[in-house]
Amino acid sequence: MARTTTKIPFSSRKLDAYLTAWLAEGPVESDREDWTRLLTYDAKIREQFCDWIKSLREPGETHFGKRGGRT
Amino acid sequence: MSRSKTPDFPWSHWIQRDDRSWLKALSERQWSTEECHKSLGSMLESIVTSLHFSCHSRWGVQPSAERLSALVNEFLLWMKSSGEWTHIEKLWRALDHGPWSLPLALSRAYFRFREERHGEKEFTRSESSARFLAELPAPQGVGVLTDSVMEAFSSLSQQLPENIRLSYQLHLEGLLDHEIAVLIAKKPAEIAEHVREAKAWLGGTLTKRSA
Repeated sequence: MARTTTKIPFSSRKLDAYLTAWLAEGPVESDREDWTRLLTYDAKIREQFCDWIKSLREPGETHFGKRGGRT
Repeated sequence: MSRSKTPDFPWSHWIQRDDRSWLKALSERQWSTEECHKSLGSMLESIVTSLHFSCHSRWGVQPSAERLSALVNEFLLWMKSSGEWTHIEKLWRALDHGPWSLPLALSRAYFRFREERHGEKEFTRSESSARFLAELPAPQGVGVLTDSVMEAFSSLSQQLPENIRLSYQLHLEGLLDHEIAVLIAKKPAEIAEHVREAKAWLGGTLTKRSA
């Protein structure tokens, strides 16, 4: 998965299993380097990824004042 | 680094759910939007609210019950017609012994639905939440200007030292310290320090000190 993450869009079905495993068990070092590079340099992917991560919060926490708009 | 279970992931409540039996039961019955809506209503509404209205929720603005319900129904119908539900079932079976989460799978599916059916326009960060939910037109030009400012601010973060850059970028996008810590395998205290350092760096404090 590590070498392909930079070539497919964030919404791709191919990433579903990988992202589930990542969120369940933590990042694998070899993939983490790829993801770090991707998130650092691709603003669109970063925005989409964070958007998705934020959607996983508890509803009460998600919807009132704890997301977005940081400085 | 070997993988290890971390019990306090911010999204553990999703991962630890046992949805397999429910999915199995549903896949063996005839699938219907009514059944899904009835069984998964609160989960779906939470996902739709978070993903569809993410740029508005910082203001505490919530979509109306009617709009939410309509979106959930539209999403369910799309899942069936686009083959997304089949994909979720395949994924669930393939991950039978590994980590699995129906809310995670549904949130990924909604992401695709949103992209396909609702495009990017509705989700620009600068759009006024109250105006959007009231279905009023946004003031002309303001969105473009705010987006440009956001992009410029994001570009500025590229100048940060590499060791603190990603922490700050994820912080800018609205992730919390403990979420960032899990995602990039650091301690929350380190993330908080990175953010402080980045703000100081961008504010010129460190530059002046080193000059």
